[in-house]
Amino acid sequence: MIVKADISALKKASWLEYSIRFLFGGLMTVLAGLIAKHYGPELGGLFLAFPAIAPAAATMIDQHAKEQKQRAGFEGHTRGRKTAALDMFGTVWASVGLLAFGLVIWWMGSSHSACLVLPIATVVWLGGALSTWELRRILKRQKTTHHRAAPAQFPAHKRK
Amino acid sequence: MVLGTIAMAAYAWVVAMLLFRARHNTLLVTSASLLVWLGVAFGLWSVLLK
Repeated sequence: MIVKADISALKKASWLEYSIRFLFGGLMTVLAGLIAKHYGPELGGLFLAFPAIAPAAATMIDQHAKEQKQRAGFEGHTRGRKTAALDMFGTVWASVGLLAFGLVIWWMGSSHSACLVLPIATVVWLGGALSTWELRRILKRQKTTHHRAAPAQFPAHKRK
Repeated sequence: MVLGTIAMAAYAWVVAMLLFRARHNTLLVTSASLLVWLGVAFGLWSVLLK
């Protein structure tokens, strides 16, 4: 699968759903700032990666997938749950990009201007996220090729 | 943020596994698993930064 932007997907969610995401994300940012102010930036920074919108986002993804399946006349609960699970697997891979973003700021933040460090970290984040996606694709392809090749390596006299 | 990201990866992996393998409610799984994030994040913070 080639990674591409699909702007029409923005219309699939309602304004309420976007508002919930922005509300939780914004509240967590404010909370992280307050924690950093009172207990120091190391503890505050920890909360910059708190999955504040994950429960709401996963539930909405589950709901959308379930409704789509139900419109086709199926039960849809399993599809909804599995779609949300796939989104969460994506988050695991995306964490590599965020990790690279944090490491760049940690490495360069104290010696360079924020105007320089933040754009560089953002580019590194994008590169990290796309690289992990590509790595996942390569690993999956190798796994598929290996599984297809496996029966041929099995001794002919043991095959039924 | 780096340690929080490691905790987020652990959280997302646990949630994905639970949603794939068990028939629990998505909101319940994602909310209860926030304890995983707290445990990993504060565990790493207390070992490496405190």
